[in-house]
Amino acid sequence: MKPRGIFAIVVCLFGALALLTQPCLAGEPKTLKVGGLFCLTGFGSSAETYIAQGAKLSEEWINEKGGLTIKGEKYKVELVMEDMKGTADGAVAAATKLVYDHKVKIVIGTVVPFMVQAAGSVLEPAKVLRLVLYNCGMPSEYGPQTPYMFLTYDSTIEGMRAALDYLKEAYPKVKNVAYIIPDDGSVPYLDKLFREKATSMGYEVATVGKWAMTTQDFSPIITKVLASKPEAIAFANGWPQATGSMLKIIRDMGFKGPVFGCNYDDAYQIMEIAGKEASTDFFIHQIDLDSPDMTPMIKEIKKRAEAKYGKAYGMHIWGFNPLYELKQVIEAAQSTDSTVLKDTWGKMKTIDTVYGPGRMGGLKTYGINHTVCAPCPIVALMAGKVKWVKWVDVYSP
Amino acid sequence: MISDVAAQTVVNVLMLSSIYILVALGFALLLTVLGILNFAHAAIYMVGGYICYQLAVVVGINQWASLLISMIAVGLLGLFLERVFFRPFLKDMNRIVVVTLALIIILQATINVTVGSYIRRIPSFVPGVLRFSGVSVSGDRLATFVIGGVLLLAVILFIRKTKTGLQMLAISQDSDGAALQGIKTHRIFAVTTAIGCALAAVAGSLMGAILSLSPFMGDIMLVKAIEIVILAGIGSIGGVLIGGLILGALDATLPLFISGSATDLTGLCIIIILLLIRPQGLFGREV
Repeated sequence: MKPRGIFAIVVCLFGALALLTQPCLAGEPKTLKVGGLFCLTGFGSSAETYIAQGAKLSEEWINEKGGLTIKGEKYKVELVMEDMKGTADGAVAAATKLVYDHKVKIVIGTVVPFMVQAAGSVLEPAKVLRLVLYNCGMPSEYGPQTPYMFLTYDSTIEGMRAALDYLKEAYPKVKNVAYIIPDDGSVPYLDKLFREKATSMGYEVATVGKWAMTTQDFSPIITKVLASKPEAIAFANGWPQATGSMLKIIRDMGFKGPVFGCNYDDAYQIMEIAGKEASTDFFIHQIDLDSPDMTPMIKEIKKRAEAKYGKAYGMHIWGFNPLYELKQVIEAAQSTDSTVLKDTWGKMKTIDTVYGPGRMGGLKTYGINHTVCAPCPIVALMAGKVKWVKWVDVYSP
Repeated sequence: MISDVAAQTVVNVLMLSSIYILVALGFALLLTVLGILNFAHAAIYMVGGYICYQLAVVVGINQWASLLISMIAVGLLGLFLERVFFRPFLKDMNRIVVVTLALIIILQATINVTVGSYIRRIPSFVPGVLRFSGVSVSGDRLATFVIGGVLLLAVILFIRKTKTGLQMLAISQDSDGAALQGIKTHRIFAVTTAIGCALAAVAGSLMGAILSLSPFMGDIMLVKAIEIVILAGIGSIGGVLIGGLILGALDATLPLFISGSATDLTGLCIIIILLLIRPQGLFGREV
């Protein structure tokens, strides 16, 4: 056979193949790429690895439920994760890769303020919709200048309000509280908000202790805080190693009053670090996965996490939440355009979260109404055991 | 009240200094004898902590026995590292720095992938808290203070009083000259690395009980170790005691007067001023 004949046959074969496969391809759902920014190594990875796993579970959950339906078309979600490596440089590099290599227009993740800000320097100018998990109250981190950023759950400001309310209820004799904050740039803002809330409830603020982010041994700062004779001690923020270490030192130094965290953290991990003897009269913003009081969605995520990773953690639930909310926003907007999504979400009054019904707020507190306020769970450590306390309704106006 | 704070601060200074000295000791030994700036020291310290944790918590062996096994295992790891990673590049500072930096990534990633990033803590070696005259100190910190002091003394005596130690000193002064005198330099390099790594394992295990364990726990401690060794003066093992005490005193007292990150900055400024006065460090040799 002449080469021209062979060429004609090959062309015909490819043409037939293309025609045969065309209907199948038309039936395939489209893919919506969503970026995931997490610290999978380095600073913060002890928690963010599990947050990333939670996000992965939510991607699978959405796709199993048939994906997203936008204007009659089916979309499958593909989560593209990048490691921020626990540094600001890493956050910028990871965000750049997501925007310019993977071409994503929606990003979930990041918790630590300096990384939220660093990633924002790339994501905001590119008009990428950001679903951030946490906030430390700095205007440079979240506010009117970050119109594409949404805070997907209660953070330290909402946690502080819930914790002080619970302190009043559980320890009515306490008259003054010391507040300990990591020196990550948030001190002037959190200090002011804490004083406002505490004094409005009749508490005196005994002292405000600030610890350097590089602190290895918290004994000096705890010595200083205890010298102010507080009756209760509050932690603004910190990963389990900091919270657990501080709790241990506080108890070792003989303080017997209530200690509490205003942030979302893993009570089991804190107890492992502090030790059972020190783990008493402590409470924090966290869920108890074994409590029957959990929402049906939390129970389902727990099952999925146990099936996929062997064990479920509170961080899995936290990581699941942003995509769970995003699904609702996309279906309400019937678009994947980040500006349309931003505008639609900005007009929504309520949104469902895995923690229960959420309300949009934050205009007065943060200067932008992009904050999802949902029921805030409280868990206590009492006599070396994790004890579920209750859900507290919090709202940032 | 002020006297209570002052007394507690004195205890904090001693405890924190002993932590720093313990971490810096192995790093100083390798730098003094081999001339290796072993940036992987803090990652080796982390591996030591994890081995101790696995043995004590997962396998269920007695904590002190776990610490001893961890010391031996990491000492053997040191022999391997010396033979494969350090020896080929001993006289090339640039390459050795890159190799030790690469080792950090290898060791951290290995632990991160195999054990995970979940924060762990080794149960107390010495449970309980000692309280006297308004001052508190946990059993683990007290144990670290004693062990740190004993190990420092042991290392100094080993170097000054044993044949192997004197050979280490000879090599640290002139390795070619020492070789010409019949000292088996490679054997001494191997012994030094094994001891340095074993010391790191002790530090990592004790810190795993006092603080916590994570694959990245050594990152900040490495900076502290470098500060101590530079302050002490390169070549001075005994100077590590004074360097550790100065850094411990700064880190334990400055937070009482200055808040947050300013303590780090002030501490570093004081160290820089000391180095401006004595560029070779407090006990270092003039180059």
